[in-house]
Amino acid sequence: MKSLKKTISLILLAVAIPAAVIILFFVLGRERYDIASIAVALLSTAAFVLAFERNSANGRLVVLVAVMTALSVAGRFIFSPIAFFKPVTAIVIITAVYFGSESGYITGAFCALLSNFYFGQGPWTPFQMTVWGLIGLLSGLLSKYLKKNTAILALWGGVAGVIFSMVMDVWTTLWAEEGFNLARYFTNVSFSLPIMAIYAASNIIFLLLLAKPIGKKLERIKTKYGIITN
Amino acid sequence: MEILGVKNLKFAYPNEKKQALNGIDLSVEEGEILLVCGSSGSGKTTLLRLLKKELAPCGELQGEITLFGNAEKKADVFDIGFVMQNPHSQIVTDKVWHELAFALENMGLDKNTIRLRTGEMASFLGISSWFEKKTSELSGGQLQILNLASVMAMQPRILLLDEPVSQLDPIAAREFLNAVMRLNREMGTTVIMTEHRLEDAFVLADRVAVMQDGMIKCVGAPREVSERIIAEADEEMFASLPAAARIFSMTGGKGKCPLNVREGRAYLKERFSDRAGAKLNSKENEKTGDKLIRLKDLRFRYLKNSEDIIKDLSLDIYSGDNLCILGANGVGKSTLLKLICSRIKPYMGSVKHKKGLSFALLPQQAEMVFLKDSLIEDLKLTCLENGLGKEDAENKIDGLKQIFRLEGLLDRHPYDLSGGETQRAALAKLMICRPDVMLLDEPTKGIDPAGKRELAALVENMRYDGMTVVTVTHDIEYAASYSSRCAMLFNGEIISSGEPRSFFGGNSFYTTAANRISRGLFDNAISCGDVAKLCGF
Amino acid sequence: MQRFSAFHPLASFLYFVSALCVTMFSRNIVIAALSLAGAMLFYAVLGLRGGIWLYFIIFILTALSNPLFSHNGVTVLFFLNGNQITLEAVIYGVYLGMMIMAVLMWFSCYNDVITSDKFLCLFGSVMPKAALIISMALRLVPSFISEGKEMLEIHSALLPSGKSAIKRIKRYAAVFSCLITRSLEGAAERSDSMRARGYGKGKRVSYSRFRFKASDAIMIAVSLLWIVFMFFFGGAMEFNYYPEADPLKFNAAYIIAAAYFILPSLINLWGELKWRYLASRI
Repeated sequence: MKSLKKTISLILLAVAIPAAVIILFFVLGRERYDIASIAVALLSTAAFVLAFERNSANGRLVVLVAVMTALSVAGRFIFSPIAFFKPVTAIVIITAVYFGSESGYITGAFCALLSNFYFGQGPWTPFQMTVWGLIGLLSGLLSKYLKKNTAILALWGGVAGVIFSMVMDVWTTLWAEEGFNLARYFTNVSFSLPIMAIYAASNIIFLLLLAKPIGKKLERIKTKYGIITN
Repeated sequence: MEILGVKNLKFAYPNEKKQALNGIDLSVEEGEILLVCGSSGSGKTTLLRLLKKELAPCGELQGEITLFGNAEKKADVFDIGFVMQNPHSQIVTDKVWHELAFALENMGLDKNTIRLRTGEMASFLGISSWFEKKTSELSGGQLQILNLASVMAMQPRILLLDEPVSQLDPIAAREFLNAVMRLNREMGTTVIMTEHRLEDAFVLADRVAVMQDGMIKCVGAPREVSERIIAEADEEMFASLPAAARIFSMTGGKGKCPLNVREGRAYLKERFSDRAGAKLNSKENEKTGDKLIRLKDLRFRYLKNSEDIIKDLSLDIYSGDNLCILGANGVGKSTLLKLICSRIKPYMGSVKHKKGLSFALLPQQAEMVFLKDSLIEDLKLTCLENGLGKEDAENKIDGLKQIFRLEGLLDRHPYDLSGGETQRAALAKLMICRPDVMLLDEPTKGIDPAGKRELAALVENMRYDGMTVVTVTHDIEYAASYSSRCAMLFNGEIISSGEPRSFFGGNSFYTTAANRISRGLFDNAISCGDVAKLCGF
Repeated sequence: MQRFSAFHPLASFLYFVSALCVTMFSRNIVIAALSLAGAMLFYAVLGLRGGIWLYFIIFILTALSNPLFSHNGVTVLFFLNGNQITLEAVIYGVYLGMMIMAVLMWFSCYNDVITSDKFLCLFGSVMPKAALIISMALRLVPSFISEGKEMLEIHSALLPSGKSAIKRIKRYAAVFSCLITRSLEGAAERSDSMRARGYGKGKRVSYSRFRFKASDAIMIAVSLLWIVFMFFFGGAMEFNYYPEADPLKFNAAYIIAAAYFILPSLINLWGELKWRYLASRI
């Protein structure tokens, strides 16, 4: 039963996503990158979440992921007096580094979903979920290097801020018209450049300030509860 | 029929030499309420947790636990319910109805059964009116009732309660205990409960077990146990006994020990009617200093369109006061403290401080004042930030260590300390900047009688050093015993104030148990000691 | 009387999904206009306010910016900095603005109708673990916020010195790190409480209070039929803007689309009228 469900989610991941793209491109016969991108975002998120469902992970891990997700959203409110400083990406990265890529993906994706319960869901929700999820996933995969050196970790935080902003710009561009208009994309990027810079800087600052103390706490919790991560 | 039996149970935590439990023998009958009492660290919680296999701590276990009359059969998780101390940290989901359904979802019941059981439980425990609410909007008392309801929805045969009311105010605590009593009387659920406030818990217990140093000292009906405690002059436990029993003992009573106000009154009438009319004079006004703080006609609200929390409140605070502001939960006590130290500003009225006055506020959750991972680091940092040099800092910390009894605690993480320890450490930290006025927010919450005595001594110490102390609390007994002046906050205004003897002597409901026992016979007796004195002891 | 909100989450969710799909898939300016009208009407009927100005600004920006980027089309209106501004690009810009504004407004209505309970009911049966995480997080966020704010208050009072931005950020970070410690400690007790109530024993089901009624089935059937019609029979999805915009022609599918877009408003208004009638007879 369990392996069957796991297979299903893998099939979703491996077959359905490209299939959806192919269908949209060829059957409808139009260059609908916008629709294709929504489909890809939704399907990949679903696949990851289903895979997480099927892992019979420790009940404690469920609580910890919920706590980290809630913390990152609460952080958006707590830090609201300091404009643009949001600890979300930093928390996703730290969670991923200590609890593995799967928890990283889930925390990232759920952060986006949950904060949109407060700030409003929109067509951007699936993209934010995917991008933050992927940042978590990558941080988990890179955890060996990130754990070793705080400077690299902070740098990665900056890069993650840039990735987030640039990918969201890709999406706004796709949504605006058929095809991908490079001029429009660069205009969008240039418009979001200052915010991107602040995001990247705030990620770096947060990781420098928080990575060590939080890491210590998470490490302690991990050994205390015997949570095994991939 | 025996539903639970414990035979020669021994338990030690890993890396600790001392046995946490040292040969416990206990038998619990089906349908009874057993109260387990004892001072902090006597092993109550350990015993209770060992009875629930899912929560059993790691460590070395010897002896035998028999459930439902059968040693072989392992109890199902749903047969034993467990409610813990902290109301907030047990709630899992975001909605009340969902929390009620949580255990039932784990049981894998079908939708209609869950609908029925949550509905039944909600109406039995009076949750219906807040059934749809978010759990984050509930008060502590409501949360604890919800925790109870959520556990009872599994229909367990045994209910374990670990100090369930220690974090609640007296009214919410009574409501919770009433709910437990109804569950027991009407559903026949067996209840095992730990608690150190015995005044209320004695009323509902069928039997009481007293624990000390990991052993059960005595078991019996509440009256028997009280008589035992009195006979053995066990000081630790004596302080937790109901006021009637304490008066009985202090006046050298013989025979049947009274346990509640009614029995206490009957006892006093019978033995000391010849002394009727005796009175204690109000303490002559303690020498109060000059006026430090003057609050005049304050009005305050948090949001533009919320209701006023503070309404036309006026209050003067004098230098050297030990002022207790009493009031139930939600009347704006914490708000008043923040107004006093100008952390928030009223939209009408004025707050006048004597020039250069400095404040420190001990929050309800005392551990919130710490930022560092160990107590010593935190204290050192605070010293440096207050401009002390390295050497001065060490001397200062040494001094504080003595006064606040922090030996052996300095290297610990502030969150690993017990309730009383956290409070002492937090007070020590606040003392570093030497405030003129110390504000304490509900400092007796979750603190046992010994801890309260200690707190009172520390407060006296601060006053001796020339500080003024303002406490907000719902703990009437604490205010009556230790304050120099009391004020009562109701519905956003101060409705009466005065020195404790005349203050409580004038109230008829909102007063100490000793005063209610002696009312009509004696005047102005507010503590058990007062009553004993008037009886000629 | 918000009758539309009383539908089973699945029915109202499918309504929004179908309306959004057609709005986004169709390149037809008439469909976009109808969808926008329907969304605005429902927005008003739900009594929502805020944000409408933002949507207008987005509309105007999108409509204006398109001719600047896109120079396709044959009907040249004028030249700007040597670039031709065409009528087709202007029309396409207006279409795009309406489509985006319609989507945003449908989402505003969605946020009002599909509350977090309903969302969890929808996904709880498929993804129980994920739904539990979200439910727990929703419970934790408000308490973390209030705890965080209280701790900030305490520590600003303890250390009134830090006015500079760096000091402030440092203090915020220290408090936040402390909040994390507290919440991780709390997590231990919370998972104890979960295990004490049988979490992780056997198969967990996901309970929701919502009942599935006959009217929900009808609503779902209507949504499904409508979306099939729009995609495969109505012929109203296609519209060419370049090189020359199609002329506007009447199509029966427009009526069906319009009817569907105003359906939730009608349901709510009908409920309102019925309630007033009943109330007048009490």
